[in-house]
Amino acid sequence: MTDSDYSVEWVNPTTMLCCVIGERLSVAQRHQCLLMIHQAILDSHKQLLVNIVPGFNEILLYFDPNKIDYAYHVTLISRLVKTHLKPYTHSPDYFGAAHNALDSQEVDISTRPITAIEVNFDVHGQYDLQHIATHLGLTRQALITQFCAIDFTVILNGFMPGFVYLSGLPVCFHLPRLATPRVKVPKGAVAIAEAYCGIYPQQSPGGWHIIGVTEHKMFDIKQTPPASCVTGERIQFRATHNA
Amino acid sequence: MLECVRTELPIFIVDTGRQWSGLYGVSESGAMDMGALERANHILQQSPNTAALEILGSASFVTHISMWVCFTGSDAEINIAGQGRLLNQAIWVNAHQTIVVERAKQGMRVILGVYGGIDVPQYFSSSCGIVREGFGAFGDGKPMVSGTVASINTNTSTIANTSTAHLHHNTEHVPKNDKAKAHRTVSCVSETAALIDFVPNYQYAKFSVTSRYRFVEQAMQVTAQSDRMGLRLACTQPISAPKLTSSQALALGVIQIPPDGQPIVMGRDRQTHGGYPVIGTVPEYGVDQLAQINVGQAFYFRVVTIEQAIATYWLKKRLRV
Repeated sequence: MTDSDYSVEWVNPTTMLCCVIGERLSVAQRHQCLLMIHQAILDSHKQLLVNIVPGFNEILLYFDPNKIDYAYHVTLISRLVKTHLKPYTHSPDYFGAAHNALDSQEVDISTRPITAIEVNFDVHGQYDLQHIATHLGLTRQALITQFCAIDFTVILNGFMPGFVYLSGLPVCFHLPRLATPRVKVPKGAVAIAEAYCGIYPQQSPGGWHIIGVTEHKMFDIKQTPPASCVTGERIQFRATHNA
Repeated sequence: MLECVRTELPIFIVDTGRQWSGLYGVSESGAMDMGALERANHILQQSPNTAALEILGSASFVTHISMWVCFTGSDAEINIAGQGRLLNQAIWVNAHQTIVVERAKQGMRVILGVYGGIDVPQYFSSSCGIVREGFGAFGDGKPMVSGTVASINTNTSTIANTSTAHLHHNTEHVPKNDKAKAHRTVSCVSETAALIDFVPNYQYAKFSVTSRYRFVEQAMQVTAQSDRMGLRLACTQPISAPKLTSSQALALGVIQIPPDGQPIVMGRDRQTHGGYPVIGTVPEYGVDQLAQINVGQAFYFRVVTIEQAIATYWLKKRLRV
């Protein structure tokens, strides 16, 4: 591990940015590592913070101004990041070690319960299911079966309340965004783009490939917590009966 | 109750912002000029997080009950029952009196602090609301408009300071109809606001040397397209930005450079993540200043280290209270 594998710094007088760069890490490893750091911070240092924003390559920590100790906290968080990066990088056999580390930590992650989300798959060709199936060289049914077998992990809610980004999409599913974004993506759309799967909590414009629509409520301010899926949670999709 | 009789622009409920909202993709929100909010609540001797109103244009109100108020922020002219009143002091307003706020000549936002605070349901420990998010403020994230009636929290058990004895009646001290005199006041927009501090971070190192110099050597202006989400700036020579591969978590004050090269400083209602490269971050106190710079008024960015920003932040915070 080198210092260029991560960075922890104050970006303004109350906010700390904690980045996991590790260019030699795979996307999955980076997410895994960030997840561990995120959890460790919430477990041990929540009382120092007033807000936290998980990112794809970073975590933004909002400190309670009255509790800040600039040098001490930057050292504290740096150490925590280093500890969690170590299993991935601290070995001559960089990739081999990382793989093992991932395996051992998957045990930990796999104890988390899986939330099943029912989806009305786009069997009537209203959206992009056929296009994705063609791209993958699969029948629509085979695509649905394969998609429902994927074990997704929530990376973050972002851009709008309850819009979840899920990691775990196999490389063969990676598609570039639509050349022309849709003006109207329906509420509950389950869509994929690049390495991610996402769920639209409300109708909005969007450039992702829509695979189906769910009635699962992604965000409801009256619920606690208001977002139904948060960082670290595991998700699996299931076809509704009429699919 | 405080009724908005007429307002030129929507009026926002503001406090120190939401807590633990980032996990759910919910914005931080809060007063754009946080210093002005904290000053108003400090003068009213109540918690800095007490909900106040953030007024942009001209507006008029009528009180249904008597209340303590305090105006801070821009140098707007304030008239209560026909009398010119000063900013930065506690004012006792009787029931059924009219409060008129004129559009400021210097500064963009007036904070109308109320003793007890504006009483609306709280989410994430905050009374703020954003229309696009659909919750908070006056219901569904809606701001105050002409005709909105705001409840005032009069339940003293929830007010940090239960006695108003310390807020002395000062109606006698204010010269009658002496608008000019009442108008002379200390505005938070000082001359140094022509220089706005920023800390180079995020992708700064990836910006070309040309971009970095261009960013500091030319005059910037805040444009009329600015809102609480982002202060959109205009400069003659656009800043070119490196490519960014994925979106990132946005701190308050991050300066995004979109493809057109015109910087955007992210405000309190910014979305949690954004996809444009970031050249640096304006510290909280700089965002306060930017939020009060008049549209079209020139300013320059000045590079400061994070250590300098921290020192200035705490100095300003201590001078305020």
